[in-house]
This record gives sequence, C-alpha cells and structure tokens, in this order.
Amino acid sequence: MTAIAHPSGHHEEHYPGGLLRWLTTTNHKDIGTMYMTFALVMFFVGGLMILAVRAELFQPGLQLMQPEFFNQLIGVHALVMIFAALMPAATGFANWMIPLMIGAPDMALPRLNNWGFWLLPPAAILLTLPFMLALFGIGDGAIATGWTFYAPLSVQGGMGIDFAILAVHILGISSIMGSINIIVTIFNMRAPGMTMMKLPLFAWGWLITAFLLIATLPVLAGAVTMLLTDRHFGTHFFNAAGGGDPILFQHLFWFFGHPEVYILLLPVWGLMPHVISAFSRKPTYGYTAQVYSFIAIGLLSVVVWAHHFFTAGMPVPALIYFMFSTMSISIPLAVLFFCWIATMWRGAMTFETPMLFAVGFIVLFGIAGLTGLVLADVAADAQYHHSYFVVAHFHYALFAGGIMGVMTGVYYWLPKWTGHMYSEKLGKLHFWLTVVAFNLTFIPQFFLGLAGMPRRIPDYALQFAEFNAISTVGAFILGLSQLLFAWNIWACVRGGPKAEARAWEGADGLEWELPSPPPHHSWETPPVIR
Amino acid sequence: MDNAFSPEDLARRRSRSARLAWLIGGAVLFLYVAGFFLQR
Repeated sequence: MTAIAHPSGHHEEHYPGGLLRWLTTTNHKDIGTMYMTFALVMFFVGGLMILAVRAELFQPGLQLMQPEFFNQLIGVHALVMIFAALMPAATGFANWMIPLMIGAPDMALPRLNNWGFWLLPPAAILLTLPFMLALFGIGDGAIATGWTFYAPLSVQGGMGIDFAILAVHILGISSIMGSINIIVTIFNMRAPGMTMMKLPLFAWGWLITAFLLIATLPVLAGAVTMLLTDRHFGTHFFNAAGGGDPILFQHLFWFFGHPEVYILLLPVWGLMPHVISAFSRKPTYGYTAQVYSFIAIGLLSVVVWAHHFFTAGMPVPALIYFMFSTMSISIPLAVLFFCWIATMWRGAMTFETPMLFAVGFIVLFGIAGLTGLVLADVAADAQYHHSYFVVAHFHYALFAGGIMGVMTGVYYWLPKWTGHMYSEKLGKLHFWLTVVAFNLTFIPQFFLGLAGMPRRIPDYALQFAEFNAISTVGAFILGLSQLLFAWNIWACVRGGPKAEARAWEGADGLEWELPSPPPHHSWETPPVIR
Repeated sequence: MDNAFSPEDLARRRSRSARLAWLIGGAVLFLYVAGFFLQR
C-alpha cells in the first residue's frame, strides 16, 4: 500500500505538563506509551516472582519459603504476566499503531481510552497488595490457587482470592473498554480509500482479538462473581456439598481461558508479517489467506475449551470432539506459518534485531504448536496433564510466542516512537541471550514432565534434581538479560542516532509516511490510499 | 473525500463510534448478567 502523506497542520498544543498530562491525556500516543511502560514494569514484577520460585526449585527440599507462599508466587506470577504485562503491551501497540496505520487522527473514543488505562494500576495493586498485607500480619497472603481459580480450592481459600476476583473484574472492564474502542476505531476512523481488505494485518489481528475479548471476558467475570457469591453469600454453584459442581467452574473458566491464549497471540501474529516483509524486502505473502486464518482461529478458539481438563472426566464423544476440534486449529495456524516463511522465501533478507526476534519467534513458537498437538491427544494427555511438560509447552507459546513477539514489535517500532535508533549491538546481544537462556530454562522442563514431575509443587523427588538445577540457571540468565532490553529502550528514549521517517529500508505502511517521532496530532488531514 | 476529517466529518464518525460502543457494551452486560442464570 502506498500513500501520499499530507503534512499535519500546525495544531496548538493545549495539554498540561508533568503528572497531570499523563493523568488527563486522551492522546493515543501518550496512552500507548503508558500501556507499554506499565507492561514493562509488570513484566519485571512477574519475572521477579518466578525467579523466587525457580530459586526454591534449584534443589530438592524446602530452602527459601513455605509451600503456601510458593503457591501464591506461582498464581500471581501468571495473573501478572497475562493480565498486567502481555495484554497491556498488546493494547499499547494497538493505541500507538492502529491510528497511525489506518490513517486516523486518534482513537474514536479518546476519553474511554484514558479511563481504560487508568483502571490498570489499581488492579495491579489489588493483585499484589495481599503479599504486603501478609507481611504486617493481615490476612494470609495472595491467591494460592494458581491463575485458574479452580473450585473448590478457591471457595475455601483466604482473602487473597477476593482481592484477585476484584482485580480480574477491573482488568476485564479495562480490556472490554479497550476492545470496544479498537473495534469502533477500525470500523469508523479509517482514512478514505482504506477498505477492510486493505487494512494492515496488525489491525486485522487486533480486530479479531477485540471480538474474542468481548465474547469471553463477561463469562470469566460471571464465573468469578459466582465464585464470590459461593464464598460469601451462601450460594453453591461450585460446591458439591451443596449440590453444586466444581467441574462447571472449569468449563466457565476455560471458555474464557482458551480464547485468552489467542487474545495474547493474535496481535503478535498480526505484527509479524509487517516485520518479516520489511526485512525480507518483499510484500507480505498471502494477505487474504492470513486474514481468513485469523478469523478461522478466532472462531475455533471458542469451541475447544475442554481440552484443558480432559482428565476431569467427560463422555467419550465429548473427548473426541474436543480433541479433533483442537487439532483442527493447527490448519489455519499452519497457513500463517507458511505465509511467514513464503514472505521470506528468496527475499533480500537482513537480520536486524526485529528480524532476529521474528525468526526466533517462528522457530520457538513452532515448538509450542507441535507440543500443543501432543497435549491435544486425549490418550497422551492423560500422561502429560498437570506435569511440567504443560508448563514448558505454554511458555513456548506465551514467552516465545507472546513476549518475544512483543519484543519484535518494540524493536521494530521503537525508532518510530522515539525518533532515535536503539543500539543494534545491545539488541542482538539481548536476542541471543534470551533465546539461549529461554531454551536452557524450558527444554529441561519437557523432560521433567515426561519423567512425571507434577507442576505447582515446591519440593520434588531426587531424580528431578539435575534438570531443575539447569532450568533455574537458565531462568536467572533469562531474567537478567531482560535488563538489557529495558536499558536499550531507556537509552533509545533518551537519545541516539536520529531515526528517519522510514526507519527500515524495506518497511511499508502508512506509519512510515509520518516523521519519526510522529507529531503529537497526526493524520489531521487524511492520507490518500491508492 | 475532500471533507474527510473536517470537524463535521470527525463529529459524525465519533458519534457513529459511540453508538456502536454502547451497542457492544450492552451486549457485554447482557452476557455478564446471563451468566448468573446458568444452571447445571
């Protein structure tokens, strides 16, 4: 797609300075920056929690903490990483990039946008506050059920669960408001001439994500509200002693929980073609196929949920249905992989940091897909369920697929956001340390799972010691290497070589028609789409 | 196309967006409330 960029008119700036600017801003770039900053901070908070877990698991026996605290760290780590790091990062991308990429002057509903962001910090405080309160002898710490809130454990647990229920409600409201804003922006704010089938793939990925969020978050909110009434208002939705059914909770939770995986991944799959195309210096291969694959994955994602609890017991026809429907997702996903690789095929490829992360993403996320097929098999899942194999699998999906995808996007668009080039040397060092340390952390966990080590335990049998020690060393290298990422971003924000409007030679799309950084108010005159 | 993103055009686009947002928000609220009436 090409465009003639019109210079933005001189717009009088009327926003306040200092903290008040960030509290009251309705500018999509400011809000995008706040989302990204919040996500980065929470990424380190969640990371610190899991480093404490890995330190405990370095050798058998209890060294550093009691099992209750261990369980709390595991649960809050997952909730923080999913709801407070990955999802806000994706929303940050959407805020920054969708208006620039579709030629809109801002999001359609800017005040809703501000509100959506400012709900996040209180929710993050609610999630982590019970840790602090417990230090002063108030309550019994944070949620200790894992991120899944499974009943009946969650019906019986301490007040950390109430905090988490409230936090999830607030995070859900924030996400729904963000999603509504993204949908109406894409539908109503596109520049003249930008038809839906000219929409950048990143916007398409987010459009499907937004619909998934709207369809599934109310179900999660309903489920945790039912849990709250079971805990405090005498209902028995999930309490077998009162005629309720704990398995009902699992159905409700995973009706949200499985689409959530695609909610985390679709924005990344949307940005990947832009990066691969830029550094292969070729147009994206199979635009239409990718759009229809996104739609197919979105539709399939809401009809496969029960594969998360094959072992909980369900009729054989249901097992067979959920097995085959789950496996069928690999077809549109394989189309995406094919398109990414076909875009690179015979391209004039160079391997700057975003491209390194993109290629690393394809290889490692491929492993997530293949191990996912293994878990989708009902017969095999009986062996692997609740083992470290599952932990390794979903970290290949959510770290290699989700977080490395976010890093791909950050390195790709950072010059656009800041107007400066980041340090390529540091970026490449960050990539290689991340890839090596990530595999060092999680390959041993596949073997641990195959050997029978269950997940969510603070102590284990002696035969698991070596692989756990290797995994912990890997985790600490992985954690420390992320400091390079933070430093590189910080240094890039502060200064560095000036970035051109089109920071990457092969980059295509409306965002590159604007100067780097773009003016505070961009596309006040719409671009012409040919 | 000439009047695209003029104040009138933007106001039109924003009010169309607000109407759609209320419609989607209403549907979300309906889903949430319907959750309470789920039975085994």
